[in-house]
Amino acid sequence: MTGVVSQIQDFSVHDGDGIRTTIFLSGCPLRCRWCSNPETWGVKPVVASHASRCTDCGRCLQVCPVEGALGLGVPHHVNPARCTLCGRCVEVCPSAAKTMMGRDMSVSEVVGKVMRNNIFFQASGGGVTFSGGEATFQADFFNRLVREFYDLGVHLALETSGFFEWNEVAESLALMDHIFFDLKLMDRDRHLEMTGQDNSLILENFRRLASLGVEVVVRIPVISGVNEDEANIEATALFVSEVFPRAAIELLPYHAYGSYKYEALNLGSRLYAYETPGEGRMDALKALVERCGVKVVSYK
Amino acid sequence: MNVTKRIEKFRQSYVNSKPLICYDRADLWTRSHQETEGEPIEIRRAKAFLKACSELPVQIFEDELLVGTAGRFRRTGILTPEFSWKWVDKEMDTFETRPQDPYVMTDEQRAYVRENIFPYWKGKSLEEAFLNRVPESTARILIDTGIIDNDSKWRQAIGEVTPDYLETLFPKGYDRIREEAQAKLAALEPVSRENIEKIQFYTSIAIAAEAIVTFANRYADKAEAMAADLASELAGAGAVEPSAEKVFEDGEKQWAVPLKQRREELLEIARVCRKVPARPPETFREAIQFMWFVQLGGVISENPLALNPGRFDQYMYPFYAADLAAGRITPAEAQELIEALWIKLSEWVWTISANTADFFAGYNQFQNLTVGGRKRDGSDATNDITYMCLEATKRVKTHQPGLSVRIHADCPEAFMNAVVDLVKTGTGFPAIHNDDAGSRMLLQAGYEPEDARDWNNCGCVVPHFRKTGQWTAAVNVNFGAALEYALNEGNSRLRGETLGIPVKPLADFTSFEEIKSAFETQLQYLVHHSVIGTVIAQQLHSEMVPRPFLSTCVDGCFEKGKDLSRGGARYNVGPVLTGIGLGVVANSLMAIKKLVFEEGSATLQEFAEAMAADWVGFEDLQRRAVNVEKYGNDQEEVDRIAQSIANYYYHETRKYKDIFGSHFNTAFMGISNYIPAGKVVGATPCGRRARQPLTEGVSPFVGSDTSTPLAAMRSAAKMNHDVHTGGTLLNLRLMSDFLETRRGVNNLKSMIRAYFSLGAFHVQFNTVSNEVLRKAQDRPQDYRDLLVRVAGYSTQFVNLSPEVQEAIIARCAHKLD
Repeated sequence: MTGVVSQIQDFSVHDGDGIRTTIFLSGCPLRCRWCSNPETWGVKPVVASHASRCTDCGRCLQVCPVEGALGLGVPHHVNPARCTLCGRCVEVCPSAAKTMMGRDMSVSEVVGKVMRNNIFFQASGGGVTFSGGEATFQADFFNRLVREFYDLGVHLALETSGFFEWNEVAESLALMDHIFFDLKLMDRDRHLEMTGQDNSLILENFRRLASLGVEVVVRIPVISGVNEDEANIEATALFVSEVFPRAAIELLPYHAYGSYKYEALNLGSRLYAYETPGEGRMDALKALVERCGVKVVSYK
Repeated sequence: MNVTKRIEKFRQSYVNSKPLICYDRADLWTRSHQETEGEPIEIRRAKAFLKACSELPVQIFEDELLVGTAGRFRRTGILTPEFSWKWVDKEMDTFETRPQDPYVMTDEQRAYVRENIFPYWKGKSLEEAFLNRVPESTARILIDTGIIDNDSKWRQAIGEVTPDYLETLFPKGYDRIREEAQAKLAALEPVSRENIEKIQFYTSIAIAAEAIVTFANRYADKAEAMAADLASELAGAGAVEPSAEKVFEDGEKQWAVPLKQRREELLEIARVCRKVPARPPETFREAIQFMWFVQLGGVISENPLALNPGRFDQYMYPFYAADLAAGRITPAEAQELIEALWIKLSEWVWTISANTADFFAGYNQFQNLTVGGRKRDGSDATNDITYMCLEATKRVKTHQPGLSVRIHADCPEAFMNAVVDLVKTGTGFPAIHNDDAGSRMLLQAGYEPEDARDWNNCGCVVPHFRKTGQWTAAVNVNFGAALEYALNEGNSRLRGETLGIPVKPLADFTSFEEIKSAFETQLQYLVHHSVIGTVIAQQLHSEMVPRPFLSTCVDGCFEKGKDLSRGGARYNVGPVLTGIGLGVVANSLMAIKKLVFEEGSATLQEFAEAMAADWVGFEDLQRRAVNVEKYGNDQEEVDRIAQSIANYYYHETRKYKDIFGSHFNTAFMGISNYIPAGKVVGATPCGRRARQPLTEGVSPFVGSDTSTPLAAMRSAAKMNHDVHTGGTLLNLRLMSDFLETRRGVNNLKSMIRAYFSLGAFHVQFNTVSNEVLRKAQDRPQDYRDLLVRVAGYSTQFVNLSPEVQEAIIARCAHKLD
């Protein structure tokens, strides 16, 4: 069985205990306006074109077998509707201005690559973290990977938006040692506006999660002007303390590191600019969460 | 906890003063040799040492507790014309202006040495003898070429000794060493060649022992005289006792302690110097002063590289524990003494040629001090002194000693924490070693099992033992050059000469295996000539520059009645040939294998032309070559090429024996040798341009370890570390934010343990950010104490040439997530 893996990042230490390898799986049902990984929206690889490196030498245009798949202007953006992902333009680009993001991989290929670092997992108490995209979006592939790593005795963590069909992945969730569960916005309409989906399925899944006995950390990406108001943070904290009192909350300040990818993928029109909340603001919100009786944690 | 005012004052003086050349030692040495013409060489050298110890200026600097220098200045560099005067004569006019490791030398000094010292040595120096004896076929690739390089073995003394304090020097003291030598002499008749040689040896030992005691006594005299002067000053009219704080701020001419206290200190210095190293030390203070006098004796006798304090925490702890129990010392006082020693070890300067300085950059004397690990009985060896040593380096930030730690699977968590805590300061210290791997290397080198457990580092990352005679850095062998000759008909691209074995044009090769084997043939040739250069130098050392003083420090010499340079040590271990550029060669062979023989997307002819053009006009091929998988990313195929080259090198080198019948050994260690070695090699198929640095130790090529430190560790661990008994080195840089949290600290500990569980020997981390390094380049005056790891060692960043600074900045900075 194969699936589309956007990236396998080893030496990852902010997504769970110890030294970990994070597997970013492609595909996501949400379109959060602050998303930093737009290359993982679809369940297929994408070719990115970096303007800062493109020298307009035209070689990509020469080798591209499909008419209209590449734009004529610098940096010759790829039209995903026409691109066949043959990879020729990436191969010939002399300045590495074109990169293939994501790759179709078999379960055994992923496992083989990840397990090379097993010795570091063992020494540090680390393991594998599934992320995305929405890690559960390729549910079958995800389930197979989880089962493999579980059987190998690897410590497992999941980062999820919470937007999934419970029954499709319930077994895998139970095999997790650690789940990071996003609660982005408590207001249903606002959630719909900002992510393209309403949050009822997410909240429902969170309630169900409480029954599993897995260690859960709720993550709130804190974005100025979106969800950093006291009302939302307080509502989130109260919801957590009510339905899943054992869970802790981690507040992650928004970062703009992903914005260059929008440009490279010709998604400039979908890029929203937000501000990163300051340290003082983050501290105030942490205090607020604690006042609601929820533990605040940090994996930085 | 901060350093004391006294230490801070020493530290400031150390970071703010330039090394000065002092010719007194050379002058005395020369005059002695003029007086001893015709006598046996070891006795002449012992007498020269005695003269130097009897007449060198005696200097006790303000506020010092630990005393003794090798010349007039705190930061003295001495000259040793018996090894070489020619390079000094040629280079001393540019000592102050050379880019790497400049020295201050005045015109008067230059005129004096040219007139009074160098003429005597004309035709008599080791350098001249070596150049006379080395065959032309070897000389053309050995002498100042960067292809195979051993100039530190004929322009300099050897050093590379770890004095045996524990079982030889401390229990005996030099009075007894002299008495025992005299007793041996009394029983020997000059009736056989063997006896004559023994008589000469024991005579030299008796003189050397007398010399070091004389030297110490002169310090005792000086301290007493200074105390008397102070007493009269204190008794003088209106002498007001200023407070310690006030005086300290006033700087140079003032004392950091009240005068009355200083007078008592001077009297104590006098008492200690009267006792050690003549007699066995009984207190921590006496032991540390003893040790420093021995270190100075080594410096004065030969200006050594890598005269190692060794397992300081092991031989010093019993004195500390006894003092503490008896109430004679406080932890703070011991800490201050250790820090004073650190500054002493950093102040004296190993005077070296510009060429040597390229290979061993950073005023580095390579005095390796090793703490932690296991004891001879297998139990954990850490003690209070272990922690104090780590603390001392953290606080005084001196580039010496080269602080190494030994980590074993069951070492205390507190020790691991202290190690990482020091890593965090970004000094590049400590060098972190796998205890078991070190022991295995010594077993392989032929040591008894308990001795193999008792190892310390020599110089950079060479596992060593104190009862050993060995040239631990005999020759640097340029793998890049061997590759170039294989691919370029035996010619050097940059010099346009045939320096390797002539072979057919690259385009005529028909398989990858054939190319790899052509490389091996050239490497074989370089190893062969490295061996010739080494054994000729070894023979000359035993004839011309025996080492009476250092022979007192190494067990075995006394029993055998034989000088260290003539095989006197308990263990004679074969010289180490250090391979440079393993990563570049593996990457280059991989690029050819993949692009030519697998993909068929390039031809050998294209590669030949691209190399000749230094990639100009072949940028597309260069890009494709750069994109081929590289060593250091845990990629099986290229890593296996590196492994196979390293193993070939080992087997080839082990075929040879030195003048004592010991097998030659291999190493992949660092120093800064990968930079000058790169300068003589043209473009390489991995995508590297001409003159760019090669790779150090088993580290990946700079910037090509694009994965993570974990992958670099996995690649490096695949090398067969145990067999390379001269040591293996992996340098990694971590951005400083990696260690800002407790999680980060624990993760680093885990990385180290995991790496060692894979069988690897050494890893060292630089944690400074590039931002800080750039600032230091812009405003060196503000960053004079910024230490960075150069290779297996650390030094002040601002003391490095711009080129070396750039190389350090270019090292792949691994950042988390």
